[in-house]
Amino acid sequence: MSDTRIPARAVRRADRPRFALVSLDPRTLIGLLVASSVLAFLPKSPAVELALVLAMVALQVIAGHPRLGIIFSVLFVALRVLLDIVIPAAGGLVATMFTMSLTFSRQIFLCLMAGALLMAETSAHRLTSALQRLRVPRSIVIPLTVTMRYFPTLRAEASHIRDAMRLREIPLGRRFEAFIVPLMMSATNTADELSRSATCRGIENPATWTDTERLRMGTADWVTLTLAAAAIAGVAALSGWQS
Amino acid sequence: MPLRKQKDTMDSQTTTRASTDSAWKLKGRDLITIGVFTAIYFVVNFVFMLLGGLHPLMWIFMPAFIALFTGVPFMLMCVKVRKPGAIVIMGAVTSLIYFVTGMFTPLILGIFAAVTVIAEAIRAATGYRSMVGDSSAFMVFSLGMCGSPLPIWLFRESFFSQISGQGMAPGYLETLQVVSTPLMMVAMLVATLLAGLAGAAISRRLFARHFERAGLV
Repeated sequence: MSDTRIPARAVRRADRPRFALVSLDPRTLIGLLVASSVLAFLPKSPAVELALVLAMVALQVIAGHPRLGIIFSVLFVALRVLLDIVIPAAGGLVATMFTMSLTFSRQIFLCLMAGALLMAETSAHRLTSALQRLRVPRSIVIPLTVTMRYFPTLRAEASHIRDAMRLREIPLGRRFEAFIVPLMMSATNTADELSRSATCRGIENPATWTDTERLRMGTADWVTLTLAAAAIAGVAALSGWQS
Repeated sequence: MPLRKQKDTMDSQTTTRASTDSAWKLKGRDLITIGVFTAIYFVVNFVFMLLGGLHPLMWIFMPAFIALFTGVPFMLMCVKVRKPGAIVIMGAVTSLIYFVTGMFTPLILGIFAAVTVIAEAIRAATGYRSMVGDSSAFMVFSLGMCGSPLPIWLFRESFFSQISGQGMAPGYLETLQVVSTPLMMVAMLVATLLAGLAGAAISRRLFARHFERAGLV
């Protein structure tokens, strides 16, 4: 895969020595994300929810990302204040509109935290090799990696097209066409260029890929996964006991 | 020397195999093309998913809106990758991203799996080169997102009690209960199919007007 697309910021972040008590394998973080996804579907009391969020904050800090921990703590407090105090006080149509979206964000809050940790902790390259180790078929790994890497490009491309449209003063009725056509052209070109570069790097080679990543599941990884499984079992037992 | 010989026979084997089924097997280029168009499909899908939180009707007709605006990336992918598997992979990658971020329920996953398989079957039956076949495949594929609002009708009682237990806005719930008549479910499915047809027609027109002239398709 083309490494030229990693933003310079990400490279610098990875190179910077940082204080981390544990370094987690990408497979553990994927497991954590799946566990959060399961927890999102289980009913939980506010106290249990708070405990789970705090546990995830602790993990983010231990893994060497105190900034993430602080950001998500502040976000969670803001979310609860908005949902429990501001919106019931404000009322009205606008408040109702936002309640649904905010409630939904609250429900998937753990997933967002686990996802942010995964993104901060692993490069796309490391993630790809982890998926390969998990024996995800190549016909899923390649499109998935391309999709994840194309999102930032898509955003940049869309803002360029919007700028160009603003300059030309396109009438409202033709905006959709004027937006989607260049976007599709650029997507097609990107796909072609990426394919050529990937072919040169041997994407068609049927042999198992080798890579320079040294992935290893350590004690910290197994402890984290065990705790995540225990959290699911605990929350499931609690909700069954309550109802 | 024996090693050399073995390698030669292996090479000739791979070339004969490649010449027979390379037309059907997805190669690196195809997988990358699928990835790029899946990214565009996903972003449009996600935007309408977020908008669905604003009003119950936006949620019920979310599959239709998505069908209307994702026709172009879907149809372009179909034209670029005339092989089995493209739609299944697009559906799988979309579901995977949604699932790990906690936004897809098992019901949506199941419906998504079913519609992608049917859409693939339609493309296989029409030989991967037919605009009508691709359009029909897209209409079926679009129905996949109906799995999101479908619990309103399928598990009506438990759905409303569960969702209000989660602290959902009472105003939103009341409106939802009023607008979600059985007729509305039919309207949702029909609207999605019609929007899929319109999305495919729009992309067909754009193909003729721009993409064919530019040598893209």
